[in-house]
Amino acid sequence: MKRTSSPRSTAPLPITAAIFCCGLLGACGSTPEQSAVDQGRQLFESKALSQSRLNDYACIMCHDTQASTPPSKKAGSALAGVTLRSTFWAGQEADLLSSINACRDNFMGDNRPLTADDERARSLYAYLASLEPGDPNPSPFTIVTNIEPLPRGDQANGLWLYEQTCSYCHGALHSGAGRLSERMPILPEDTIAEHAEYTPRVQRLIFTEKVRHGLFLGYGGVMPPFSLELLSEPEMSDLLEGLGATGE
Amino acid sequence: MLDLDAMTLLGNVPVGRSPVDIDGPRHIVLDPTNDRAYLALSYPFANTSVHALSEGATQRSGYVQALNLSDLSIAGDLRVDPSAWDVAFSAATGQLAVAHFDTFRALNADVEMRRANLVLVDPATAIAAGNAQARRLPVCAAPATIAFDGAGARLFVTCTGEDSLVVVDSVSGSVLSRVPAGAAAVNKPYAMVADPAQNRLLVSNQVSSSVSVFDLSDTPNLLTTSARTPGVPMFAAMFTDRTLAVPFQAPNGAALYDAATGEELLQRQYPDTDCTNPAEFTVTRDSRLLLVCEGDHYRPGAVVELDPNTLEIISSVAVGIYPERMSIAEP
Repeated sequence: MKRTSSPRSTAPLPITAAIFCCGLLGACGSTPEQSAVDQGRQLFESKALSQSRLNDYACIMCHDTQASTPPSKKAGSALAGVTLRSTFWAGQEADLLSSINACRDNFMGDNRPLTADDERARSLYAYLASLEPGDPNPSPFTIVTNIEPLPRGDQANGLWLYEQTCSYCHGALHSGAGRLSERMPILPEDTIAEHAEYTPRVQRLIFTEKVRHGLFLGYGGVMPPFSLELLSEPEMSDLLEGLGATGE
Repeated sequence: MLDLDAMTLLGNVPVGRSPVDIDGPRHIVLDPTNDRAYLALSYPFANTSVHALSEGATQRSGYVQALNLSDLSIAGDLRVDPSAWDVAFSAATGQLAVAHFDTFRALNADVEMRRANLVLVDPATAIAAGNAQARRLPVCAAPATIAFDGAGARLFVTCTGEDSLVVVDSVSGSVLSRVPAGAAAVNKPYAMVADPAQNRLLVSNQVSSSVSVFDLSDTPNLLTTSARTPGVPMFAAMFTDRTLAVPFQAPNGAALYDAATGEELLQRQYPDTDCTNPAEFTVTRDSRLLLVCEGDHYRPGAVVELDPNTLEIISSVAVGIYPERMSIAEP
């Protein structure tokens, strides 16, 4: 690694002092004017909640702030009211910070948990609390553990579902245009190519497995799972049709 | 968490590291002095996806998780080996031990390769502090359960894959002895507990269907063998100094044996509706006889209290899916 020479060895004291002050002003110029809520919103909307260079996600990509009708197809629940909920991740996490850390660890590549006194945790909490009122009830979240063959579905609805559930990360179908990063496979071509040794019937099961399990249950990667509440079995059939994973 | 006086469920808290996968918590041990509880997360290998298997899904490392005893919130964890199964804590030394019931490793052709590690963590409080070191000692094939002696100097291990009981010096980590787990030609030890007085080890053998009672010497002596149990014996307990209480499975039941002669004194079997798969006896300080019933592993199990004179179930409280063992926090 190339090293730069130390300014202390060459610069007279006033310049060193000026650099120091600029740094200080730079920090002072932004931080004090932002409320914790604003800082929390920035964390929510940016990738800064993770310090991993491989992170492609921000909270907002998987969570709406307010529930909508019809419900959003984002993988995570709407967060207004989340600070009032008693459990998270279908009861598998008992407190909000642990559930946030589960997201950071599994999807955002940062396994260093935030602690309750971490400024980022406090700011994020302030922002989430500012979203109330909302739904204080734990969100249902049923993982489809066993992957079974599904009946054929409706292609038109499947294409609509692709736009709602997949395109934010994977970009446009077939081209990947607008995808989150080059790490996101272009669907369906990249996935089919990676599993070329399987029959079309098994490839259809693989698409189902990836959507239902995400990175969990032995699959790996960084994709969140899509629960039964978010994507019904008929909708899953439709999505497979939209992806062209007909099994034939 | 149960209120055993009222036989009611106080509440439950999620444990483990993954919000989706099965963490497989097993035995929980308590360290009230430091307000800690420790449990093993086994991450059972339950993947049914042919695709995931062919792409490399395999055994996951186990973990020991430290909990704050006051509210069971998570205080820290330590990665150990696959199939983390049993934990033992020595109040005398503050040391924690973990056994790994690794039946995949036990399939190796080479004897040494079959042997799974015993992990020692000293002190256990380092887990919550985040600076714990895991000391690994290859001990035997498929070690299932472990128990410290009263001083914490010796660790006893049931070795299912070698049909033996192994004694380990918990300071040096050396194996002091390996003795047969029972008097039969094939015993298959699984469950083991040390009685509270630290005089006897109760080793439940699944093939010989009996409980072997050993002393806690460096080369344990077989003191008694119980009469044959009607089903597979699980975690036994000394109900009195002279009476051994043994739960058994397939059929569901419990029996009392004379600890000196092994003679059966009393036996009762239970319908599935009352107690499916009895797993562990616990005797409270006030001599109540409690039994953990695993259930069918798909629906909630239960903790039941038995009448010691008849072994009839006199009260019951439903708990979560697949309970196996319990620990009592005395007030």
